[in-house]
Amino acid sequence: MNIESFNRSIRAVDAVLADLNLLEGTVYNCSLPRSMDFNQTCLTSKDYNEIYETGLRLSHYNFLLLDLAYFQFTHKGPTEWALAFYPNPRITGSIEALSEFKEFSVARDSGEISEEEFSELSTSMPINYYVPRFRYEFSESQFRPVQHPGAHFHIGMSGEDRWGSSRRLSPLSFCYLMLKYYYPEHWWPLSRFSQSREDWASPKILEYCLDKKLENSLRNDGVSHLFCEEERPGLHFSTV
Amino acid sequence: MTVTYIPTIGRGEENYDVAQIARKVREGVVYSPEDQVILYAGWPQVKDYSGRTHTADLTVVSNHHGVKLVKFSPSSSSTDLKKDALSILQAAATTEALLGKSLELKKKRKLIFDVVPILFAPNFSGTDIGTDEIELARSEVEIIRLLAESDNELSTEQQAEVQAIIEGAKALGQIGEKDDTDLIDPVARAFNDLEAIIYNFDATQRAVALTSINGPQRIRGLAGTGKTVILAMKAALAHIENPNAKILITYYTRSLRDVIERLITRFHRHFAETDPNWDNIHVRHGWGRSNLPGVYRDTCVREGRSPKSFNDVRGAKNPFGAVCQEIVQSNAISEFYDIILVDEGQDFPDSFYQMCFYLAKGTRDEKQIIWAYDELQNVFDVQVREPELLFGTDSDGQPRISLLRSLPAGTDTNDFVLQRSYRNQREVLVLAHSLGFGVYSDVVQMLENAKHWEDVGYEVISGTFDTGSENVVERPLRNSPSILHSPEGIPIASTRAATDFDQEVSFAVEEIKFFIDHGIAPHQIMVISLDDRVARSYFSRISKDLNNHNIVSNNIIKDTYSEPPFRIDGMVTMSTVYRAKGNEAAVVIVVGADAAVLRTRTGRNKIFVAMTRSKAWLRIMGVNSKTFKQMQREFDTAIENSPRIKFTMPDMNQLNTIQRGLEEKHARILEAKRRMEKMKNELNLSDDDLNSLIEE
Repeated sequence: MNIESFNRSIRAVDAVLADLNLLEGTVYNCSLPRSMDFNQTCLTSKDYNEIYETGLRLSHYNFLLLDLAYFQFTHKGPTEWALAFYPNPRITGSIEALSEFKEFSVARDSGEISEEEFSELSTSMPINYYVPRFRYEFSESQFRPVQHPGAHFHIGMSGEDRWGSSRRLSPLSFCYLMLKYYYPEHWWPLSRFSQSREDWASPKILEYCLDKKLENSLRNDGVSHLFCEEERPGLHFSTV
Repeated sequence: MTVTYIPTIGRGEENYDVAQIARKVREGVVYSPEDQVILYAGWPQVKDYSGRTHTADLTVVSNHHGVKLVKFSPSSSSTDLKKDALSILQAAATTEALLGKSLELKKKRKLIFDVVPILFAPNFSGTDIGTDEIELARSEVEIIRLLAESDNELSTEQQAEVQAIIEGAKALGQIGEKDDTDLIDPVARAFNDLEAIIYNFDATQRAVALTSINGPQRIRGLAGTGKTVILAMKAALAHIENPNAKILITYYTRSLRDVIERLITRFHRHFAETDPNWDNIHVRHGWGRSNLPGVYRDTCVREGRSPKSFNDVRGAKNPFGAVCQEIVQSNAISEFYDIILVDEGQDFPDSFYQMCFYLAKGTRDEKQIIWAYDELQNVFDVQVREPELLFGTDSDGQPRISLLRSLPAGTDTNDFVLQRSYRNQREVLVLAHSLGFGVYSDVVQMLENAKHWEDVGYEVISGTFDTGSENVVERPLRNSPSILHSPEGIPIASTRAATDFDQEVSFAVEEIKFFIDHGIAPHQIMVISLDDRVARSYFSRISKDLNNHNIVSNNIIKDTYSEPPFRIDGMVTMSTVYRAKGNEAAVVIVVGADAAVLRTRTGRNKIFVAMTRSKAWLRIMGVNSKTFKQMQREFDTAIENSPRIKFTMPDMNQLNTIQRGLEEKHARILEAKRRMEKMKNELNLSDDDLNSLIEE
């Protein structure tokens, strides 16, 4: 994927998040530049919250969501890119936690509590890691058949797990996947599969259906040329 | 003859012989009337490669006598004397090396004056201590002769340079931002020239930073007078003097930590060439949280008590005051710190000071608690809360802290007032005061008398300051010496009314782009929203639009969990007024000014704080409304009268009563809003339902 396509996909993410009223802020609507300070923590710490808060503190992300989870999309070359989703360990994945956080935000915006008090309250929410960190990497330079799939996911903090994928993923597809599984309250109302079965193919519904959009985006991304025959019999992420 | 005497932290126990020499220098026995002399006690302090500290007991800098460093040694043993001789030699060598970095002080690759180490050994009867690198004085007569030995003459500028280097002002110089001035844009050049003045940590500030008093001290001054820098320098010096001493420097606004740590590191590196040991210098938020250390939290943990979070005391009138009061009343606090430095002292509740009182080591008059206080930045508190009130009463009925009582004999003062404000342009400061008080509309707050105006750096031109009297004050250039030579057509301060939110956003983006295109770094630009409720919308929209111009922003209010750096290189800062406190930028763009509350002190103070973040240019924007028009009128009048402020003195009692009433009413409205919100959720009603209910 060349840098132009990659950045175009990032801008599409911006629009999707804004449309779904999930966007809290945009720092980069293009490939994220390298941050030595973030890498320093990310590569040396095994403490997810520390890594998450470092990214938040340094504004080192493309998009911040309302629950203060964020996306990082980095392009290093036509066959080298990385996509990451950093959930907020206090909120993402818990409706109750999100509603508590929103309650604090309303109190702050109405002047009932100060900024400092808002910070105090939101920090005192427990860190429960409802959702794991999700990363997707596409790397030709590191590709070794079976041992290091060219396209793979890291789920959680291990870093040594490489869930192989036969697909190339763009930032947009990756964003859709995260939204589908971790923001169901935003996803399902806009999915044809929430409608009665006879409406699944209705053109009117297909127009806004997020599942359809995900499908289109995945098709558009195409297959990974790094996926080899020896990997095919193993469990891997794929699509038709 | 002028002798400036600076008794610094390194002077240790009072020594008779050293005090005698200092007295003679101060009384004019040594130098002649045309000499300009600076006399330091216990200064400079330097470290060698093995980490040992070396100090001069007395140092003299004179325009006709070069630099002379004196070490007193009471010993008669040549072994001890040799050790002291090497120590003063090291102090002199390091000082000379620092001075040698300044080309202004050199001629033919050498310093134009000597840096002379002198060992004063009155009990030594021999003639040789094994080194001829230093001057040896065995009697008072000899030392006075050595001190009086003349050297090449220094110009006023050269002497100021020597003083600045010895006192560490050069540690604050900007690094790596000097471009070729012929190629640089005039806007960027104007700002670079201004930075050189702002970073001139002046002699008064340095004297306050260096002066050490064995007891409490207060430092008062407006925004931009260098209070934070002074406290950071004091912390660094105290750490060099005694690396094992426990030093606390505490602050109220979370975004200040980064600034304080950077300053301390710079000063420490300047004098000791190493990084400070953060185990012994604690830079702490006042309260602290589960993921952040803080003074209150650390104290609880040390004393085996469970610290309370804001959630535990939510609903208390002053939550932080309540938790501090509880621990003070528990009598559980043990002494822990040798020195406590409190920044943003105006924001802390009294009980926090009382907690600090118990945390500080020593008897009550010897407790080294130093607090910086800006009387014009606290929301409800135009008057300075005096130490007797802050620290409360001791068990014997006496005030725990009294500046007057604890002032050591022979010390000029322990209550410093900084009148010179470097951060802001004079017209911006005068404008901020005019709008902050509301002098060109309904006054919401006022300084009580002429003395108070003088304390904050104004000259009284006319008026009695009695109720109803017409008064005029003026800010002299000497107290606002940072002058920006803004290129023609680019005003220092201006307002701009927009038709709607979208247009206001585009105005803000236009201004940011203008300054970046003219060479101002993005991190030197700050957008402040006066309207907290829609701050998030402003920042999202502005960030998004800036992104389309490849400009990136650092939205510091997004990080609610830690202490984010206020400034990130290459990013425009977006902040609410609250988080902007204690920080600064070359360009400040205030948005949402139409939401300003002009009737209350809280509202006016927010305007004041937002404006005084600006070092060079200030832009105020808002949607064209009644409030914004009024603000523009006040703005125009203030600029027209600048550097003067003209006002009718209000009845202070009446003013305070009205304001108290307004603040209480504001609190009641907030409570009503909170209850309505709760009721709305409980009964599952919409805003429209509530509106129709009210209409009915």
